[in-house]
Amino acid sequence: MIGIAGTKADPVMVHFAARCVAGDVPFAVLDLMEASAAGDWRLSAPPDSADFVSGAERVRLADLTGLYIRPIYLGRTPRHVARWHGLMDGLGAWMDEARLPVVNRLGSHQHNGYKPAHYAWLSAHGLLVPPSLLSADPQRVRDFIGGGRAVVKPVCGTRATTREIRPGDLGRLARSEGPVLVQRMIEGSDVRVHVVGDAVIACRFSSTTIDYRSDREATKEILDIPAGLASLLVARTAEQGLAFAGWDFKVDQDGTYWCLECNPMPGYSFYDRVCEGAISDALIKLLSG
Amino acid sequence: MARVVAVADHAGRQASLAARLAPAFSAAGLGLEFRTHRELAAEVSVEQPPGQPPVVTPDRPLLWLSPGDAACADTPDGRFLAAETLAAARSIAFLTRSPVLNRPSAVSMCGTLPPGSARAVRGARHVDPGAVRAERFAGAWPPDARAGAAAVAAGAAAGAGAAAGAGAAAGAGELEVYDYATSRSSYGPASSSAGPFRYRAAGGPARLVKIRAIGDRAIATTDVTSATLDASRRVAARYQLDLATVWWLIGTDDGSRTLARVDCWEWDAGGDVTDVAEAIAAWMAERLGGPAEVCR
Repeated sequence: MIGIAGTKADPVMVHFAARCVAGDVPFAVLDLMEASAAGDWRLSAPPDSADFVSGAERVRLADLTGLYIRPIYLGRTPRHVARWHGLMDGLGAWMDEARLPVVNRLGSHQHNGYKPAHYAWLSAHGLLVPPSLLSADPQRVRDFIGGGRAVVKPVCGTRATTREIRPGDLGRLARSEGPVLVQRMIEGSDVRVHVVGDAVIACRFSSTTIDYRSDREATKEILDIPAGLASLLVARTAEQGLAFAGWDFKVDQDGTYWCLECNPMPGYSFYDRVCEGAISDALIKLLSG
Repeated sequence: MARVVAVADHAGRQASLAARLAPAFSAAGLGLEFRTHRELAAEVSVEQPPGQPPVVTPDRPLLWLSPGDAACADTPDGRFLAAETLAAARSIAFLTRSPVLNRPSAVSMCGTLPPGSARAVRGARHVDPGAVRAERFAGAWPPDARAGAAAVAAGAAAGAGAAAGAGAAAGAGELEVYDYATSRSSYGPASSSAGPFRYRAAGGPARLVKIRAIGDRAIATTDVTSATLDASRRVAARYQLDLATVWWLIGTDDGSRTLARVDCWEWDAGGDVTDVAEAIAAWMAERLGGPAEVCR
């Protein structure tokens, strides 16, 4: 039985549960929001056969063959914060020592949340990354933009629509309180690659907008990426301690794959529909033991 | 004179440490400047050329002493700016080529120390197996509390196969309990507390001992064995921490050692701040080619 830990407000969790239902795959829901708000748990390190989490239902963790966790906190009160903290401490300690596949363990890499370090790690590990600059110096940013078209991105990995930065935007930078992260814009199609253990599932998007996610007219198709790149991504995903990752690429006119990022908690449901459920199928296979 | 930058809450929670770091670095022949995260992010650029290592400008030796700036943002824009500032500062500390005390890693803000206290203690079990006990977490005080201590102790001995709830009765007072609602530890839960709780079997009578591990130095404010000092250094090294505070419960009857907590951020509490500041200066002087013993 697969454990699905998260909140029912998360469409990715709902999507995965729906795929389990469609495939007649047994699963149990560990509703972390309900458990932390009004439920109960007992967790041990090392794990114990009586460990459980009780939210919408009571789930005995020893019955699980694998765990898919997306710990998204949506509470507000100090009381709920304390209970969430206690639950996540326990689950984290339990997961560190539990011998079952987990998507993804808390100890995996975090550098997606601080992008300059993320780019450096990717570049040092065989991925071609577009040139970028983090700076609060308007002249340095101006020089970078002068070298070619560029986009501006959040440093901390918060999801935002990617947009182009132009010299006329630099007045705002001079008045801002923090640095900006600019990256050379690569023109071409977008490729999203999901790695699930050893499985590689990719799809391509072609759009006239800079960020295809905001383009309802973008064309989409399933894609086989080069075998060497697929092997590299499987290895680099595992090196980060991840069982599941979503890799974003731009493919230029020469067919060169430029890596934009590796997402350690991919919101994959949209891509799964493009890939006809192949990502969910791979997750189910991985987590079914 | 080499200029070292201390990223710290130097006007607030680390003011005392900052006041002692300045003379310690001066005595070591090193310049020292203080920056908040925001100040660091405002004056440092990071460039990532294609296929090459990143370039940090200016690239200076750092003391990575603070997990964030003190001011709490109360608007969405303010929180976003705070997150951007922290991500920028963390990237700078991660990528700086010069020595960085407690350099952040791919998995942690500080060395490789896990963010949860329980995970940090349990993760050290391979370094000092006898000093790490089984832990349990509960949303409410569990119905099997009377058997809790025995069950947790059995878990420590038998590993994953230990049966819960079995064993002889043991009073709740034989459990060490951390209460997430109050952030306090005690023997047995406070009767009025709603929890949640983290708990483990208590040993015999013990005293709490704090060891500062700074590079290959270990500073204690009370008498401890050399084995405990060595263990503190090993725990710090396990998490790639150049500066750590390692807390132990030392049995008053048998001298047995139990790991209680590992901290990576140095606040102003304690009477050994001067010693800590001098050891930090010595650590940096060694890495910058200066004298190893600089202050005494």
